[in-house]
Amino acid sequence: MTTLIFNKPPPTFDEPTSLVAAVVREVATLLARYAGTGEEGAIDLRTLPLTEADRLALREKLGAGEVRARIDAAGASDIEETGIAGVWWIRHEDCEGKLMAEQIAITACPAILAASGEDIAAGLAKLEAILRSEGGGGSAP
Amino acid sequence: MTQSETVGAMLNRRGVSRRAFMKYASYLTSVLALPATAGAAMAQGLAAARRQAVIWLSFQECTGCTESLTRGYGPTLEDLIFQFISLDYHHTLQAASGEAAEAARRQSMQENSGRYLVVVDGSVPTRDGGVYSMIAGRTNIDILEETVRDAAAVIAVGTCASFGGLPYANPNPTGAVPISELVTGKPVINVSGCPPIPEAMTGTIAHLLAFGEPPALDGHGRPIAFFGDSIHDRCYRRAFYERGQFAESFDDEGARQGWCLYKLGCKGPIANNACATLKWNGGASFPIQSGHGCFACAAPNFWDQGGFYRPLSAITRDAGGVAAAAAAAGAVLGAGAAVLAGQRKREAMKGTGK
Repeated sequence: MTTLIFNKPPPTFDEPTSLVAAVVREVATLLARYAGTGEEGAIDLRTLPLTEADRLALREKLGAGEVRARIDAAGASDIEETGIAGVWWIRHEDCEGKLMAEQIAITACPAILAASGEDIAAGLAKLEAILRSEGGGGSAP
Repeated sequence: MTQSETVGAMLNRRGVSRRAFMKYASYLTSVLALPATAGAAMAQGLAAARRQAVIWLSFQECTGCTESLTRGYGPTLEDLIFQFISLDYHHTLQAASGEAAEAARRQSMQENSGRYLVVVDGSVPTRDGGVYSMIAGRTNIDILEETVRDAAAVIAVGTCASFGGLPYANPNPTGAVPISELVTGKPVINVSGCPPIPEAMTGTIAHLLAFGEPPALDGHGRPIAFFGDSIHDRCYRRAFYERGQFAESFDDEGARQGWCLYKLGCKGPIANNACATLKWNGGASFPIQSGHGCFACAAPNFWDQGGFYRPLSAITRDAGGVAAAAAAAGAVLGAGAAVLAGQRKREAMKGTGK
């Protein structure tokens, strides 16, 4: 019988807890601050004792938006805008699919999506090398 | 990676993309319980940091802390931390031995004077001149004193180094003391636990690297990021506690249903640690999830707290401080919960025949 205990996954609760309302309220506070001052915000979901029911209820309340992006860098990252513009649900996994970080970010666009100046310069150099190898010569205009 | 090369340059050279590095910074930010928006500052600080020399001293210990550090990791992003440090001396992990090992320690101290980190696991015996633990013919006290002299900071990993741990337990035959009693004039960070969670060790080092200073510490000198919350507050079984659903034995229906282990001696309410959130073995589980109560192994004197299987509410004589702490932890639940706790205490006392 002991084996059963060890094999059993943590129990879940059918009904979401009051944590969901607290998180939604915090999202609203952070979004109001961002709208007023431009200060970005984020809530670290990984450290909150959310049950599966809580997680589902939270996603349902925030809804699904128009933007979805997947980053493939040292594992998958999913960046999704929720149904509330400026509120993003971000999940980072490692190479083995283990959840490393999960947060709700309040911003116009998460910084990880944008290409950095250094990366753009490196990209340009790469493109020029391709053009040279094809015999076109010269550099980008 | 050379000593002068920055971490950012090294990662770039090895093909680690900026986005991968930002992910790692997000992860560290989460682990360190920093504001979730601090990821950018963390990434910037780490990228600009240079490789950190680390000297690891092992005294009265069982090597469990090293096991935790090395076995807690798979080939994942978390491995990045090992690119940030140069582990110049560690009995268990280094290839060199004997005089060559001691020479490596002295060389690192000389080359990185004032900048190297000293990590210590194990307590230090002081009775009878410290003869109960010797390395290369020298006492632990002697080696510690010499090694920390030019260190930037000291990290005491494990409950033995932080608070004395098992060697310190009554009757403490070797006169064991924690590191903080012997090191003065340097920052001493306690990362307690038997063993500590790997992320607590690496996260503390990452914070020192990224921000050039120790993370915020609690009254026991431990990083609040990892020791700021009680296991009880973050435990997924907390909802059962609130509902008054308890396992009464390790094989009853309550245990099978995964109910709260409070009556079976769980010390979660007085244990401040991150096991319930970070978990162990790559986030697979933690003791309570595996069906056993928490020992409060990261707390001072946990070994002498009156019995692992006695409910907190039943411990009144052997560890006065524990009962007081339990009462303090319960106080945040409010008066209604206090009444409930009183009922549970009476029930638990019946269960233990007190």
